[in-house]
Amino acid sequence: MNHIRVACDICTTELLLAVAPSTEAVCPVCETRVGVRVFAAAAKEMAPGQTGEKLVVDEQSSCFYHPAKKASVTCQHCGRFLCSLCDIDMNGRHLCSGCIESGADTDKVAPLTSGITCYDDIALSLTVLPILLFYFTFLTAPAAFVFSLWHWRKPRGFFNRVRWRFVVAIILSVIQMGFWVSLLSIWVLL
Amino acid sequence: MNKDTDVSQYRKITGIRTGGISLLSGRYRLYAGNDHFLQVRKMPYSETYRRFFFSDIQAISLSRTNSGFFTAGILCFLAAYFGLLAILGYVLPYMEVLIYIGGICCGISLVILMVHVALGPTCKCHVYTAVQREPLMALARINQAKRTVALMEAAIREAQGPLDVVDAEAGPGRILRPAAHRRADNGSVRRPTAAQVRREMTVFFWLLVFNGVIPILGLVGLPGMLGLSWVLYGLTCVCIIVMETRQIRVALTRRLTNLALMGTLCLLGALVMDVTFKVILSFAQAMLPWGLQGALSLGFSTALLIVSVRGLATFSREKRLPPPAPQAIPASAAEAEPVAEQQ
Repeated sequence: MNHIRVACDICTTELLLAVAPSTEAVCPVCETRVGVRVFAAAAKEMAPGQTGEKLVVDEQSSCFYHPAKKASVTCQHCGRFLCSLCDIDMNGRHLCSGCIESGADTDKVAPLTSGITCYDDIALSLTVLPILLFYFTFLTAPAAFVFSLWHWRKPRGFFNRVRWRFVVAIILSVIQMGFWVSLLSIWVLL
Repeated sequence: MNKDTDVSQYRKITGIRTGGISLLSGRYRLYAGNDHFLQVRKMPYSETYRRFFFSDIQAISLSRTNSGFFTAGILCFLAAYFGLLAILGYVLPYMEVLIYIGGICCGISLVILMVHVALGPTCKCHVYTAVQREPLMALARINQAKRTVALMEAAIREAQGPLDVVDAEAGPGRILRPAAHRRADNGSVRRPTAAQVRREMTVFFWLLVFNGVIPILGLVGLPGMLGLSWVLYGLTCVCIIVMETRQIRVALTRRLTNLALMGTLCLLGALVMDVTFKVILSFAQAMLPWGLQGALSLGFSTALLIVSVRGLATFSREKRLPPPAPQAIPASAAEAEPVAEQQ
């Protein structure tokens, strides 16, 4: 019978379980009952890596990265010819290593996006938090105003939520700036 | 999010779960896409994403934890603590403000406690793929986790097909994908030795015994007990820090872990009560009736004594018992293991 190794959820002790769709074990160390659902992917062998085929005829298209190897597919992001070695299958999409690298850095390949900065949250905090120490708003209000406009078109969370935080930040910063301008005007007039 | 992403494919499968203190550890939510699950971690000014593709998931593990029990204990303590503060405000002169502060905080603690109890027991859940073992932080309550895992299971089995158990049983015994999990686990946890566990736990439980005995001796009227109790508090805190540093907890049974945690909470409760009452009474320049102060002190001391004695008894019993038998690896599986590791 095949077995699968899992770790106890609490103490990470290694547990050896017989392969079944739904199985259970008691950790010998912390006595926690660990329920495990096992799926078909656990029993599958890993697909061996492929090397590219050599060019036989000069007219054949060759791999962008390996000119001596025959192209088997094109990168679906940049369109470069790729051999079997350079082809990276990302959930049905064929990509080259260059696109993967640049996509991870610039968030251009969707499945590689691992995080974003929420500029609307920053803008809102920049206007709301300094109210606690009001004198800071002299500096933070114009900063928040410029920041909100600067990042107006930037992504706002995974689901690109509405821009109400930017709007509130702009309104609050305008009010704060107005307050300071009127205060300065009164001071100059007096 | 970039333009390639079709966000309409995602549907929420869990609510927002706050991991500990929201600002520090973030808020988690799990979504189901067309071909993967997405775990979103929302920090104050950023979001991070983890994708688990249906075709890659090998296993999902789910275990019940007892952290919910201790959270309920802490909330009970807070409710009692603020309730006592409110009573003190009523009893002591010029301390009416304590009635409002204590009453409001007691009410809030009770509401949180009721919500916490209504949500049910807590759990931990992990997803296994060929290269990683990743916690599903969005699943924190066992009832919700069971529902979500059933939903995930259906989606994964639809994508992968059923697990062919008949073939697996008929074929040569082997261990599936052992290398990745071993790498992940051995790197993250350094196990303490048995001698370390024995030493630390014996010292800890004996310190708890003394922490229980000394205040009782102080109540009887023995001099010098106050200073000694503070020294013992300090020593116990040092012991707890050492135990946490050496990760003693990972080598303890569930019963011993519970007793150690209960002892720590009792000690902290006694400490907080002691300090608060001293501060309040010095402000009010008043004395509590001996009965109330004595009853509180006696209550905490008794709890500490019970926990520590039970802990020592459990520990000595477990020492006498033979160690748990290692899980037998079939001969054929053991032979096949190096081959599987090379993959």
